[in-house]
Amino acid sequence: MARSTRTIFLDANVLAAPVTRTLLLVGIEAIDVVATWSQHAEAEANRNLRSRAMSVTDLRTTVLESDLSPTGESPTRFTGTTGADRQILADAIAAEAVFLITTDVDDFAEADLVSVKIAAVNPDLFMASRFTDAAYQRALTQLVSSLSNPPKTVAQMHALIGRKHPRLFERFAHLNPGTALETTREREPRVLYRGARCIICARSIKRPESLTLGCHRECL
Amino acid sequence: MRDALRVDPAAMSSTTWDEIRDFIAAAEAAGEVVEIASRQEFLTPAQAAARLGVSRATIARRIASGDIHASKVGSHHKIPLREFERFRDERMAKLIRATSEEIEADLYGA
Repeated sequence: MARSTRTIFLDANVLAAPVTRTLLLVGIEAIDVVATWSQHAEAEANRNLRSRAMSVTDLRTTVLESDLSPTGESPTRFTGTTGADRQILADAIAAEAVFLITTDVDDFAEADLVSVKIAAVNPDLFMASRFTDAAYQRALTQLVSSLSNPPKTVAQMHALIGRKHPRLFERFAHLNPGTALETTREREPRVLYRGARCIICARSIKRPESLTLGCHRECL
Repeated sequence: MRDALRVDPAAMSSTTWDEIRDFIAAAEAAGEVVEIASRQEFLTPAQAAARLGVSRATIARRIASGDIHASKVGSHHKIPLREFERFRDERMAKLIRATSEEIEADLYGA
Protein backbone atom coordinates (compact mmCIF):
# COMPACT_ATOMS: atom_id res chain seq x y z
CA MET A 1 0.00 0.00 0.00
CA ALA A 2 1.34 3.45 -0.86
CA ARG A 3 2.06 5.63 2.12
CA SER A 4 0.43 9.01 2.45
CA THR A 5 2.93 11.75 1.81
CA ARG A 6 1.12 13.90 4.38
CA THR A 7 2.64 12.36 7.48
CA ILE A 8 5.89 13.35 9.16
CA PHE A 9 7.31 11.63 12.22
CA LEU A 10 8.91 13.76 14.95
CA ASP A 11 11.95 12.43 16.76
CA ALA A 12 12.40 13.01 20.50
CA ASN A 13 14.96 15.79 19.98
CA VAL A 14 12.37 17.80 18.00
CA LEU A 15 9.60 17.13 20.51
CA ALA A 16 11.83 18.34 23.34
CA ALA A 17 12.69 21.62 21.56
CA PRO A 18 9.79 24.04 22.27
CA VAL A 19 10.43 26.57 19.47
CA THR A 20 11.13 24.01 16.76
CA ARG A 21 8.21 21.82 17.83
CA THR A 22 5.81 24.75 17.87
CA LEU A 23 6.90 26.15 14.52
CA LEU A 24 6.49 22.74 12.94
CA LEU A 25 3.10 21.97 14.47
CA VAL A 26 1.64 25.37 13.60
CA GLY A 27 3.21 25.72 10.15
CA ILE A 28 2.42 22.27 8.79
CA GLU A 29 -1.30 22.79 9.27
CA ALA A 30 -1.19 25.36 6.49
CA ILE A 31 0.48 22.95 4.07
CA ASP A 32 -1.78 19.98 4.75
CA VAL A 33 0.82 17.90 6.55
CA VAL A 34 0.26 16.12 9.87
CA ALA A 35 2.83 15.25 12.51
CA THR A 36 2.88 12.17 14.66
CA TRP A 37 5.20 10.43 17.10
CA SER A 38 5.42 7.18 19.04
CA GLN A 39 5.47 6.25 22.70
CA HIS A 40 9.19 5.66 22.43
CA ALA A 41 9.85 9.15 21.03
CA GLU A 42 7.51 10.78 23.53
CA ALA A 43 9.09 9.05 26.54
CA GLU A 44 12.57 10.05 25.37
CA ALA A 45 11.43 13.65 24.82
CA ASN A 46 9.82 13.77 28.28
CA ARG A 47 13.15 12.72 29.81
CA ASN A 48 14.93 15.60 28.08
CA LEU A 49 12.60 18.51 28.86
CA ARG A 50 13.60 21.44 31.04
CA SER A 51 12.52 21.15 34.65
CA ARG A 52 8.90 22.29 35.16
CA ALA A 53 8.21 22.12 31.43
CA MET A 54 4.84 20.70 30.39
CA SER A 55 5.38 17.10 29.36
CA VAL A 56 4.92 16.17 25.73
CA THR A 57 2.40 13.61 26.92
CA ASP A 58 0.26 16.28 28.59
CA LEU A 59 0.58 18.51 25.55
CA ARG A 60 -0.54 15.74 23.23
CA THR A 61 -3.41 14.48 25.36
CA THR A 62 -4.83 17.73 26.74
CA VAL A 63 -4.17 20.25 23.96
CA LEU A 64 -3.69 18.35 20.73
CA GLU A 65 -5.92 15.40 21.67
CA SER A 66 -4.03 13.19 19.29
CA ASP A 67 -3.05 9.54 19.58
CA LEU A 68 0.43 8.06 19.60
CA SER A 69 1.54 6.32 16.44
CA PRO A 70 2.03 2.54 16.71
CA THR A 71 5.27 0.98 17.87
CA GLY A 72 7.31 -0.37 14.99
CA GLU A 73 8.31 -4.00 14.74
CA SER A 74 11.69 -5.59 14.13
CA PRO A 75 13.91 -2.58 14.77
CA THR A 76 17.00 -4.81 14.63
CA ARG A 77 16.58 -5.11 10.85
CA PHE A 78 18.15 -1.63 10.64
CA THR A 79 21.69 -2.84 10.97
CA GLY A 80 23.38 0.41 9.99
CA THR A 81 21.55 2.46 12.61
CA THR A 82 22.44 2.01 16.24
CA GLY A 83 20.77 1.89 19.63
CA ALA A 84 17.46 3.59 20.31
CA ASP A 85 17.39 5.15 16.86
CA ARG A 86 16.56 1.77 15.35
CA GLN A 87 13.27 1.83 17.24
CA ILE A 88 12.61 5.42 16.13
CA LEU A 89 13.07 4.42 12.51
CA ALA A 90 10.82 1.37 12.94
CA ASP A 91 8.20 3.59 14.59
CA ALA A 92 8.35 6.11 11.74
CA ILE A 93 7.65 3.30 9.28
CA ALA A 94 4.79 1.99 11.44
CA ALA A 95 3.34 5.51 11.41
CA GLU A 96 3.46 5.42 7.58
CA ALA A 97 5.50 8.59 7.64
CA VAL A 98 7.63 9.58 4.67
CA PHE A 99 9.86 12.00 6.56
CA LEU A 100 11.52 11.54 9.93
CA ILE A 101 12.24 14.98 11.34
CA THR A 102 15.29 14.93 13.58
CA THR A 103 18.19 17.14 14.56
CA ASP A 104 20.45 14.07 14.55
CA VAL A 105 20.14 13.04 10.92
CA ASP A 106 23.57 11.41 10.99
CA ASP A 107 22.36 8.89 13.59
CA PHE A 108 20.35 7.18 10.85
CA ALA A 109 22.17 5.08 8.28
CA GLU A 110 21.54 6.03 4.68
CA ALA A 111 21.14 2.39 3.62
CA ASP A 112 18.46 1.81 6.27
CA LEU A 113 16.54 4.91 5.25
CA VAL A 114 16.71 4.09 1.54
CA SER A 115 15.58 0.50 2.18
CA VAL A 116 12.28 1.73 3.63
CA LYS A 117 11.89 4.77 1.33
CA ILE A 118 11.97 7.36 4.07
CA ALA A 119 14.13 10.44 4.53
CA ALA A 120 15.58 11.81 7.75
CA VAL A 121 15.46 15.59 7.57
CA ASN A 122 16.72 18.37 9.82
CA PRO A 123 13.72 20.47 11.00
CA ASP A 124 15.18 23.77 9.77
CA LEU A 125 15.80 22.34 6.32
CA PHE A 126 12.34 20.75 6.24
CA MET A 127 10.56 23.98 7.18
CA ALA A 128 12.67 26.10 4.84
CA SER A 129 11.94 23.69 1.99
CA ARG A 130 8.26 23.04 2.56
CA PHE A 131 6.68 26.03 4.29
CA THR A 132 4.85 28.50 2.12
CA ASP A 133 4.75 32.23 2.83
CA ALA A 134 1.30 31.73 4.39
CA ALA A 135 2.48 28.84 6.57
CA TYR A 136 5.45 30.76 7.95
CA GLN A 137 3.43 33.93 8.47
CA ARG A 138 0.81 31.89 10.31
CA ALA A 139 3.42 30.43 12.63
CA LEU A 140 4.98 33.83 13.30
CA THR A 141 1.64 35.54 13.89
CA GLN A 142 0.44 32.81 16.23
CA LEU A 143 3.63 33.03 18.26
CA VAL A 144 3.47 36.80 18.54
CA SER A 145 -0.20 36.88 19.46
CA SER A 146 -0.18 33.94 21.89
CA LEU A 147 2.98 34.45 23.91
CA SER A 148 2.56 36.36 27.15
CA ASN A 149 5.96 38.01 26.83
CA PRO A 150 6.45 38.35 23.07
CA PRO A 151 8.72 40.60 21.07
CA LYS A 152 6.80 43.59 19.78
CA THR A 153 6.66 42.72 16.13
CA VAL A 154 6.51 39.81 13.74
CA ALA A 155 9.85 40.99 12.33
CA GLN A 156 11.47 40.70 15.76
CA MET A 157 10.09 37.20 16.14
CA HIS A 158 11.46 36.36 12.70
CA ALA A 159 14.92 37.54 13.82
CA LEU A 160 14.75 35.51 17.05
CA ILE A 161 13.73 32.40 15.15
CA GLY A 162 16.72 32.93 12.86
CA ARG A 163 19.05 32.11 15.77
CA LYS A 164 17.81 28.54 15.77
CA HIS A 165 16.60 28.25 12.21
CA PRO A 166 18.88 30.22 9.90
CA ARG A 167 17.59 28.49 6.76
CA LEU A 168 14.00 29.34 7.63
CA PHE A 169 15.09 32.92 8.31
CA GLU A 170 16.83 33.23 4.94
CA ARG A 171 14.02 31.52 3.02
CA PHE A 172 11.43 34.00 4.30
CA ALA A 173 13.61 37.09 4.57
CA HIS A 174 11.50 38.71 1.84
CA LEU A 175 8.49 38.76 4.20
CA ASN A 176 10.37 40.89 6.71
CA PRO A 177 12.76 42.99 4.63
CA GLY A 178 15.51 44.73 6.52
CA THR A 179 15.42 42.33 9.47
CA ALA A 180 18.97 41.37 10.42
CA LEU A 181 19.85 37.85 11.45
CA GLU A 182 20.91 37.66 15.09
CA THR A 183 24.65 37.24 15.39
CA THR A 184 24.37 34.58 18.09
CA ARG A 185 23.34 31.62 16.03
CA GLU A 186 23.24 27.97 17.03
CA ARG A 187 25.66 25.82 15.11
CA GLU A 188 24.05 23.88 12.30
CA PRO A 189 24.53 20.09 12.33
CA ARG A 190 26.92 18.74 9.72
CA VAL A 191 24.34 16.40 8.17
CA LEU A 192 20.90 17.83 7.33
CA TYR A 193 19.42 15.20 5.08
CA ARG A 194 19.67 11.48 4.40
CA GLY A 195 17.35 9.20 2.54
CA ALA A 196 15.53 8.63 -0.66
CA ARG A 197 12.73 11.13 -0.97
CA CYS A 198 12.55 14.66 -2.31
CA ILE A 199 11.56 16.94 0.59
CA ILE A 200 9.41 19.10 -1.67
CA CYS A 201 7.50 16.66 -3.91
CA ALA A 202 7.89 13.68 -1.50
CA ARG A 203 8.49 11.25 -4.38
CA SER A 204 10.83 8.39 -3.57
CA ILE A 205 13.95 8.11 -5.68
CA LYS A 206 16.48 5.43 -6.54
CA ARG A 207 19.60 7.58 -6.47
CA PRO A 208 19.88 9.79 -3.36
CA GLU A 209 22.99 11.41 -4.82
CA SER A 210 20.80 13.03 -7.49
CA LEU A 211 19.20 15.29 -4.87
CA THR A 212 20.46 18.72 -3.89
CA LEU A 213 20.02 19.18 -0.13
CA GLY A 214 17.22 16.64 -0.18
CA CYS A 215 15.37 18.10 -3.14
CA HIS A 216 15.10 17.38 -6.85
CA ARG A 217 16.82 20.13 -8.75
CA GLU A 218 13.58 20.81 -10.65
CA CYS A 219 11.60 21.12 -7.41
CA LEU A 220 13.83 23.86 -6.03
CA MET B 1 -14.55 25.13 -21.05
CA ARG B 2 -11.77 25.83 -18.54
CA ASP B 3 -11.65 24.57 -14.95
CA ALA B 4 -13.28 26.83 -12.38
CA LEU B 5 -11.10 29.40 -10.67
CA ARG B 6 -11.52 29.14 -6.91
CA VAL B 7 -10.76 32.18 -4.78
CA ASP B 8 -10.87 32.34 -0.98
CA PRO B 9 -11.69 35.98 -0.15
CA ALA B 10 -9.99 35.60 3.24
CA ALA B 11 -6.71 34.47 1.71
CA MET B 12 -6.18 36.62 -1.35
CA SER B 13 -2.57 37.26 -2.27
CA SER B 14 -1.03 40.06 -4.31
CA THR B 15 -1.42 37.93 -7.45
CA THR B 16 -5.06 36.94 -7.01
CA TRP B 17 -6.47 39.84 -9.01
CA ASP B 18 -4.02 39.08 -11.81
CA GLU B 19 -5.25 35.48 -11.84
CA ILE B 20 -8.86 36.69 -12.02
CA ARG B 21 -8.03 39.08 -14.87
CA ASP B 22 -6.18 36.32 -16.75
CA PHE B 23 -9.10 33.94 -16.25
CA ILE B 24 -11.60 36.46 -17.62
CA ALA B 25 -9.33 37.33 -20.53
CA ALA B 26 -8.89 33.66 -21.43
CA ALA B 27 -12.65 33.11 -21.25
CA GLU B 28 -13.25 36.11 -23.48
CA ALA B 29 -10.70 34.84 -25.99
CA ALA B 30 -12.49 31.50 -26.07
CA GLY B 31 -15.89 33.16 -26.55
CA GLU B 32 -17.09 32.11 -23.11
CA VAL B 33 -18.93 33.99 -20.37
CA VAL B 34 -17.81 34.09 -16.74
CA GLU B 35 -20.19 33.39 -13.88
CA ILE B 36 -19.23 34.48 -10.36
CA ALA B 37 -20.86 32.75 -7.41
CA SER B 38 -20.03 32.30 -3.75
CA ARG B 39 -20.76 29.40 -1.45
CA GLN B 40 -19.97 28.28 2.04
CA GLU B 41 -17.48 25.46 2.14
CA PHE B 42 -17.99 22.60 4.57
CA LEU B 43 -15.93 19.74 5.96
CA THR B 44 -17.21 16.44 7.26
CA PRO B 45 -16.04 15.42 10.74
CA ALA B 46 -13.81 12.81 9.08
CA GLN B 47 -12.18 15.45 6.87
CA ALA B 48 -11.65 17.75 9.85
CA ALA B 49 -10.12 14.88 11.83
CA ALA B 50 -7.75 13.99 8.98
CA ARG B 51 -6.61 17.59 8.61
CA LEU B 52 -5.81 17.86 12.31
CA GLY B 53 -4.36 14.39 12.71
CA VAL B 54 -6.88 13.43 15.39
CA SER B 55 -9.58 10.76 15.58
CA ARG B 56 -13.13 11.23 14.37
CA ALA B 57 -14.24 10.56 17.94
CA THR B 58 -12.30 13.63 19.09
CA ILE B 59 -14.07 15.83 16.56
CA ALA B 60 -17.42 14.30 17.52
CA ARG B 61 -16.71 15.09 21.17
CA ARG B 62 -15.82 18.68 20.31
CA ILE B 63 -19.01 19.09 18.31
CA ALA B 64 -21.07 17.62 21.17
CA SER B 65 -19.45 19.98 23.69
CA GLY B 66 -20.07 23.00 21.46
CA ASP B 67 -16.38 23.75 20.91
CA ILE B 68 -16.92 23.23 17.20
CA HIS B 69 -20.13 24.60 15.74
CA ALA B 70 -21.47 22.24 13.12
CA SER B 71 -24.78 22.03 11.35
CA LYS B 72 -26.61 18.78 10.97
CA VAL B 73 -27.92 17.48 7.67
CA GLY B 74 -29.93 14.34 8.32
CA SER B 75 -27.75 12.30 10.65
CA HIS B 76 -24.48 13.87 9.46
CA HIS B 77 -22.61 16.89 10.75
CA LYS B 78 -21.11 19.51 8.46
CA ILE B 79 -18.47 21.96 9.69
CA PRO B 80 -18.16 25.30 7.89
CA LEU B 81 -14.57 25.81 6.72
CA ARG B 82 -14.31 29.11 8.60
CA GLU B 83 -15.43 27.40 11.80
CA PHE B 84 -12.87 24.65 11.29
CA GLU B 85 -10.15 27.25 10.78
CA ARG B 86 -11.23 29.11 13.93
CA PHE B 87 -11.05 25.91 15.96
CA ARG B 88 -7.69 24.96 14.42
CA ASP B 89 -6.18 28.38 15.16
CA GLU B 90 -7.51 28.37 18.71
CA ARG B 91 -6.03 24.89 19.24
CA MET B 92 -2.61 26.14 18.18
CA ALA B 93 -2.96 29.27 20.32
CA LYS B 94 -3.70 26.99 23.29
CA LEU B 95 -0.61 24.96 22.47
CA ILE B 96 1.56 28.07 22.53
CA ARG B 97 -0.01 29.49 25.69
CA ALA B 98 0.36 26.16 27.50
CA THR B 99 4.08 26.09 26.77
CA SER B 100 4.79 29.82 26.65
CA GLU B 101 7.47 29.73 29.37
CA GLU B 102 9.38 26.98 27.60
CA ILE B 103 9.08 28.71 24.23
CA GLU B 104 10.28 32.04 25.62
CA ALA B 105 13.20 30.41 27.44
CA ASP B 106 14.14 28.60 24.25
CA LEU B 107 13.75 31.75 22.12
CA TYR B 108 15.85 33.93 24.36
CA GLY B 109 18.38 31.20 25.12
CA ALA B 110 17.66 31.17 28.87
